[in-house]
Amino acid sequence: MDREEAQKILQLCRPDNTEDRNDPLIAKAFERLHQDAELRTWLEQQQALDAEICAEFNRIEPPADLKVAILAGMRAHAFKCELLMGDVVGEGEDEEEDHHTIPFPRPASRAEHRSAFRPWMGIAAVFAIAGIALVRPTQQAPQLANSTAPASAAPAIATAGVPNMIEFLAQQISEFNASKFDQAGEQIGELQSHLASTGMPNPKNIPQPLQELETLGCVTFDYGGTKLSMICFKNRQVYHLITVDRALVDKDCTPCKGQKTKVFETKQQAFKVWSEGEQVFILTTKGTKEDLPNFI
Amino acid sequence: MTTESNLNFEQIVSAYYQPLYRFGYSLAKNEHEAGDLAQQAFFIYAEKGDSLRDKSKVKSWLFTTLYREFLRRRRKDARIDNYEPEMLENVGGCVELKVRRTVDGNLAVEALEEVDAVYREPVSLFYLKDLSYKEIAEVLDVPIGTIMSRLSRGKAQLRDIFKRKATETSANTL
Repeated sequence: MDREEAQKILQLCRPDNTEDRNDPLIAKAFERLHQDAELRTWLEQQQALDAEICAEFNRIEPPADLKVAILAGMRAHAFKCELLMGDVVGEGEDEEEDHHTIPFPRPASRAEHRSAFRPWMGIAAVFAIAGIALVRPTQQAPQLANSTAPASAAPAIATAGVPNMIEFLAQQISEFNASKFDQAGEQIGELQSHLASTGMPNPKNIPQPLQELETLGCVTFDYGGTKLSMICFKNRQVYHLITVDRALVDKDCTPCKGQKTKVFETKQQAFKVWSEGEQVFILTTKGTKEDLPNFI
Repeated sequence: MTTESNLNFEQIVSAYYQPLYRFGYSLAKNEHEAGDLAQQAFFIYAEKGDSLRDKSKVKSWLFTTLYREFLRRRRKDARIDNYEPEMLENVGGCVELKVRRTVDGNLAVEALEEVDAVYREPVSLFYLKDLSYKEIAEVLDVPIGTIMSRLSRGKAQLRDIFKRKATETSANTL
């Protein structure tokens, strides 16, 4: 092995990593260091710089609540899976645990999820998801830093700590295509009739400028048992108006006291939320808050 | 949940959420998406992880999953660009995407941006220090020989850029 070849191999060794030094290929290159002082100096310099760069990468800190959010999400997911699969897989789950299999979070006892309390586990899961938002105080709808307007007049803009319902909608919309409409049509009236006939949330008060636009269709989503209806309008841009019963919407989603609207941005979409009567409306479009119409 | 299951899963999350987030950040350059990618990797693990029988592969598996998820999102983003104009039919006009990027002044991440694209993933995985070169090859699904040469060239580029940026930064702070 010549020096150049040794250098190429030694580059694969992470600084201060004994595991790498025990790798047969790298160990062989290390042997050369005993007889090549120049190579030794070169490696020391390389490793010192590598350690510096590693330290810089390690400065990237995840959000303080990321771990909590992941675990809460996983628990909620596990509960949901058990709820969906409980009766079907329940009897066959007494198979011997394979010790090589990574344990997976799931409810403790079969009896527990066969019990009459199973619906409460679903509710607990919903609370667990909602809890993620509640334990993220720093991410709750901050005011724009450069806003000069009083807090009560300006809408809250949240670019982080987006409520789960908004994230859910963003995901649904990003994966949506025209073939998924429950009812396609260019007339708002026929879409509202469809929503009314299927018992889905039907917007009681559509902003006038939206009413003047042509529609593309409507669809309904199920967010953990909460029904959301969406009507899509077209102009030079596509707008989606989502309607949901106010009682079913978490407070982190709706405007704070004294504010008319609340704005969120996620997945390259902007959302404006407001409520009227018993309904909460969410107007969304692709882009940022600047792309949202101002007529609300 | 049994205590044992809980602990094991929590241990896995505790051990890997930070490196996964950092890898996600080095790919997306965006805090929100990095967090999202890390969560999604664990979510997919929750869905499919029980089929993974070799415990020692969890780390590589999670990194691979995060990387594939990132690529999947990028491909989807490209498709979405075509979705709205299609819906708009004859109306015309499209929305220019305004991707919110986070600039945090991390020298290594900034330097990485200037490295040739093909070297970025192997180099960032190397400097995150969680994976050996063999595991990096596995995660990125490229032959070991290719990884060796990409690491060699990519690291050389990153070191030069990093040194230059470090010098510039110290000059500016004087």
